[in-house]
Amino acid sequence: MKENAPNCGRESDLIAFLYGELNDVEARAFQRHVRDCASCKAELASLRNVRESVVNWRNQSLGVISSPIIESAVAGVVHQKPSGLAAVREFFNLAPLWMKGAVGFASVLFCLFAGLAIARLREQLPVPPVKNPSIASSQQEFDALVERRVQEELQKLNNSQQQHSSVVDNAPARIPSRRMTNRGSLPSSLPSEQARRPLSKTEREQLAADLRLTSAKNDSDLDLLDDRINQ
Amino acid sequence: MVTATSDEQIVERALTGDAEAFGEIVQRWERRIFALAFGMLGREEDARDATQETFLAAFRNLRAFRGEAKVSSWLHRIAVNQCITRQRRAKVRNESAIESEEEKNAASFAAPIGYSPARVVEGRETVTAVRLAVNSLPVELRQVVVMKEFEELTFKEIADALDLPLSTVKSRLYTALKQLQMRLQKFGED
Repeated sequence: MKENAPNCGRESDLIAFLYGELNDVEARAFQRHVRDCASCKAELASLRNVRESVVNWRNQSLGVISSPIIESAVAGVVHQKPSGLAAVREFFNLAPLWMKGAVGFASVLFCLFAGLAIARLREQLPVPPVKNPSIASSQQEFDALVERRVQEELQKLNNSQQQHSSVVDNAPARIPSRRMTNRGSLPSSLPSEQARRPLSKTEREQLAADLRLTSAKNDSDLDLLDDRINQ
Repeated sequence: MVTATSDEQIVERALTGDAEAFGEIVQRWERRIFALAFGMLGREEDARDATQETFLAAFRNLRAFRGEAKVSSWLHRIAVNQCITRQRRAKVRNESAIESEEEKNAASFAAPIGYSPARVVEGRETVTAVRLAVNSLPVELRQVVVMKEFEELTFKEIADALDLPLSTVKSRLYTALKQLQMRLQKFGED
């Protein structure tokens, strides 16, 4: 080992200086020595690099590894009150690949069906009302519309009443004329074939009685009348 | 005024039957012991096992603790012995990856081709190289490096823990760093 040590033989001070275990006076004295001793200067630089490499290894190794007892204690606390998200994550971490794939496929299907359902629901939703000028949107417009419709109905009613009254006034004049034109024939409600056939005796008597043209007992007159009608 | 309880006082409480006293010792020292075991063994699983075995052995031998040395020194000695015993067992069984790496690299420190010395100091590959280099050191050198770098103990604490003279600790640490330097340099040249 001595052959690797600095020529000055101050390796003990060098290692103590490297790890900061010299007091201030000793440290300053060694720093002055290093300025003049090329061997110690080179040795200090190379050992400092080695030490930094070891420290990096320590930090990287122990930075990601926690000690067993603390880790178990932390794990105990975590397992006592796991959050929902942590539970889902743990489940997916432990789940096999096929289960992850199945869950992913099911999620895609669910999203697809949800999208379709939303699209259909939008189609069935009522169309938002469009302002129609014929439909009242305020109370005043509604009242005006009702008033207009009432006036229209009243106008229609008056018109119909006037037409009815004119029909009633013309009815007596038309009825006699009709009776005059249809005298000696059957009522218009009868079929035309039946109207053309000769009346029977009973019918003639009934008709004569209805018309009060002659006494039912006067058969001769009745025969004359019958002939006259049949002609 | 609150005075921190010393390790020795806690051990006394444990000896009088305080069931929770030894738990306090474990809480105080388990990180350092784990760091020591990790530095010595180089693998997380081995370090966990060695840490648990260290505290189990300490608990079993609690009545043998005489109080002449510090509790920290006592625990370190147990831990180092646990690591050495574990490495010997692994060597016999040829199960430890570290031991196989050590066997491969102890005689000639093999390294990937194309690494310059500058890159050896930096980078992720350097971390692996350093781990292999430290694990290839002799146990007496390795434990000093680990106690200094991983546990950040002073030379005096290391000397107390290993029951060595202070000068020997410094000499071992200097020798260990020089061997690491040579192995890393060879790693960079290869």
